Amino acid sequence: MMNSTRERILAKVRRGLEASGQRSIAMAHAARELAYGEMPSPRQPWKGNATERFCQRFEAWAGTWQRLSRVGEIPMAVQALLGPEDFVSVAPHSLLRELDWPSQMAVNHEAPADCRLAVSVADAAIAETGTLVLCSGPQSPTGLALLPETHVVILRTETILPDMEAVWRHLQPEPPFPPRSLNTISGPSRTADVEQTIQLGAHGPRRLHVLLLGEHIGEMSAGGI
Amino acid sequence: MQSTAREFPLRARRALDDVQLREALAKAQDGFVGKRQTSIDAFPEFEALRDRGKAIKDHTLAYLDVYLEQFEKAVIAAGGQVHWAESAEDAQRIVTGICQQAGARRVTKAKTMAGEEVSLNEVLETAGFDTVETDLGEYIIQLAKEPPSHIIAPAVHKTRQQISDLFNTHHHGGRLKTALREVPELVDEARQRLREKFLTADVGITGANFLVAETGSIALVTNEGNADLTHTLPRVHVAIAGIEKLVPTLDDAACMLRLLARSATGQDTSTYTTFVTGPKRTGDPDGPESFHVVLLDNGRSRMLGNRYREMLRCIRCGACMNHCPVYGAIGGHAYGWVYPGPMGSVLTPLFTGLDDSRDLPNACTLNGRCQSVCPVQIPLPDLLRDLRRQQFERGLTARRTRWVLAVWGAIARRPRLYHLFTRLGMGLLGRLGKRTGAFRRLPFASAWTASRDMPAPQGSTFQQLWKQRQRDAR
Amino acid sequence: MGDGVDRVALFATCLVDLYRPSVGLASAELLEQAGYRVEVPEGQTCCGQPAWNSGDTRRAKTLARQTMAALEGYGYVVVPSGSCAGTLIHDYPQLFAEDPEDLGAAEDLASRTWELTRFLVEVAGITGLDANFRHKVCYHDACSGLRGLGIKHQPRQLLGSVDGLELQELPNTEICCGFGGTFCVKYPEISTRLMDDKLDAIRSTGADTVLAGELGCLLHIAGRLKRNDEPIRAYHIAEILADMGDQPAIGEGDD
Ligand code: SF4
Repeated sequence: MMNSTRERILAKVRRGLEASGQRSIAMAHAARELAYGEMPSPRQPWKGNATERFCQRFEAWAGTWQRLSRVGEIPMAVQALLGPEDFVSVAPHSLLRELDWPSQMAVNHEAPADCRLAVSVADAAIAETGTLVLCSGPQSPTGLALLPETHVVILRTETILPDMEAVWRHLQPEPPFPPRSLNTISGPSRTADVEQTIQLGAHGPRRLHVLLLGEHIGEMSAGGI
Repeated sequence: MQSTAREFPLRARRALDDVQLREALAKAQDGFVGKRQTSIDAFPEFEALRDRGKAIKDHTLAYLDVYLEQFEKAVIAAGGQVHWAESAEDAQRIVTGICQQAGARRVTKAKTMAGEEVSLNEVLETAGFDTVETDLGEYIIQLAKEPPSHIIAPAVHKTRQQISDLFNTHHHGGRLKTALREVPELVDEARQRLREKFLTADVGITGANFLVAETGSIALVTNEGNADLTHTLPRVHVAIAGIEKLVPTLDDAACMLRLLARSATGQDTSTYTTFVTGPKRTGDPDGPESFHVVLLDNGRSRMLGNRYREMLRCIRCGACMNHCPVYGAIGGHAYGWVYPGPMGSVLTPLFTGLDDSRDLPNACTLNGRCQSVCPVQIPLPDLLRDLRRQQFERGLTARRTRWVLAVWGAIARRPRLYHLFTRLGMGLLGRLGKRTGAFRRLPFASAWTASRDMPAPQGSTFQQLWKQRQRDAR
Repeated sequence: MGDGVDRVALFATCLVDLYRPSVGLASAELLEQAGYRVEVPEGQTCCGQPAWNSGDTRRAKTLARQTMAALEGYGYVVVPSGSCAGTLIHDYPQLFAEDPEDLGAAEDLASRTWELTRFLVEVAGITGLDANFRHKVCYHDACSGLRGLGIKHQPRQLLGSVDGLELQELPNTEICCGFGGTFCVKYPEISTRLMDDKLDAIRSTGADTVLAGELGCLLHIAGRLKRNDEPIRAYHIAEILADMGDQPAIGEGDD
């Protein structure tokens, strides 16, 4: 029954297209190349290095960031963002597991519903739009990016790539790609559903803070704070 | 959803008299138009981007059968399931079945226009599921028991006060002494209420902004993050999407996203853009145990075979309605079905029948602004005109219009007769109107003169004066 | 230009023919000033746009064929209306897309047809005008010309050569005035709402005169102004360019 619906729809599609004979994905791809595939998509033009561009755009989304010089500084930087009662969830990421976390910060495999602050590691970022890229996986629960009030993301500057297409090239060779959930995030959650007024913290984090690690940060040290 | 497009004239008139609606619409349209313009001014190659968007969708549609099969294969390879729905009833049955099988009690939903199209909320509620919309705008109109009035901003017609009243009634039984007034308070209240629902939902239903054939991924775009909570927390994730939502590759999706965000809200990108591929994997700390995609035809395949294939390029950005003067005057509800504004005026007759939506193709000045902003260059005015042609051929055009066209046509096709009649007619009207210059009332023209004077003609026809001039010159 | 004078067919449009012949005279005047020999083919009546826009393809075709025949053989066809020019340029080829016999003629006509202000600027290359109009005016961009034919700077450039004329830009000039051909009588309430928004914009400029290149919009604007007893006057741009701004405005009587 289910199957016949499938066949019926596909038959109707083919009839509509006046398509007959063998049709293959190779044919489609050849046609795609011919139609537009050889040219890249136009992008938002920008100058300067990718890190600067990322930071500038990220601030425009009401994101904040600061520079760290060593991985070991992460726990301190996180602590500085904490309220007294806050409970912290840390992603079970190899980079974070090794660190010296104070007692109220738990490395969690799941995002607890009441978690106030969570720390995760970005897999990449997009300079064009100031966007973080997080791939779900054993080291990266998706919930950490959604449930806390504050989401802290560790970003290595060498993973800041020019655009989304470059992110695909970067991640594709490392299966499993795509992951179950590939989240691209530009700033804290927001809504404009009440009288077109932008309000942060609709469902997801109210605050999104990036800890930058690596080269190319130049003169910049913090932004949007 | 049952179409009420038949009542267009009545509802439109009512909307024109609604002062609150008028304010809300004016504000919204100004905002959408301005933000889009700013984002496009910063993107010098936007026209080239539109060309590419059109090319991507045209190509995908030309190979839709191939890409549908490729997508299906990829979803299954990722551990998901694909369901094919030929009609709204199919889709309802499939989704209800999934929820029942999951033993679900509560279902969260992220905004899906395909879901609206097949009346998913009503069906799930009737089947006994506690169904909660999670997009703030959708949640508000769900409380108000109204359909969306805009495809991007469903509650665009509601004022802050109205939202405050709704929350007071539904969350506090009307007992709140100091009503919530400010936007942050209202958003916070909704956040708390909906967080509970997210955490206790068994099934999460989303739409899909794009389906990526090469990977079997669905792309979800929100600013609130509600779609992500909807697909990540419950045990089961169901995505429902029209078959036209496909794009071949992730690169193509990247291009379409550049168009969508700018056209819809004037953003470079939406806050959350997510690609979901299959259910939770081994070792994943979270995510649903099963993942279903419902591919909805519901009349789309029929459109592939005629000029309405162009309409299937639509990415549901809402730019056409944001720039439509008629939508700006009457809002979305008057259109009577799921899709309002220019795109709705094309889609509603195609989906629900020309007979039941006679006004929609006609309630348009053919000013062309919608087409000029459409990210995939859909010739909306041409399609509306073509619907009028179909109406005319099937005798659905108003009798009065047909009659006027017949008389005018009979005269205009006979130049001598035309010149004689017009000379006599204009001579008479010119003399009658010479003193005042315009008529307050004219027989057969009450539709004009009800709100406007009819300027009087100058009295002679141009042909007459021109001949005179030629004679004088000789 | 051959012997120095090119033959131009003036397609006046039925609205101008019936309502406002002075627009036709003004257009002819301007074309002659630019050195063209103007003819007004007698076989012209209505281009068929109302039928086409109402879905009455058969009648639209009849009128289109008649118009194509009347305008055959002229180097240029000039139309003082963006929407009727648009019908000749864009709609006829669509109308005959599946009639190979007529398609050639339709495409040929399309390639020779020009909206008046665009013709004056882009083909005739007019630089100076012998006109004066000492008023603050605003210019309404009719949608079909603006989006269909790219008419935006041409009328403004021409108005710049009118002595004493002060041009104020209308806010939201891309927004339709609500005329829309038969739309204005099929949905008079919506149409009037759009017009009232347009009038707000017109008033906000402080102009005492509103101009446009489209008689349909102008009748609509003047009709509503008149109903409100407002002193703002309306003219077709050709009338002002041809220095005919001292005659009664649209909808203005002897007293
Ligand atoms: S028709 Fe074009 S402008 Fe309108 S919603 Fe669809 S894509 Fe957007």
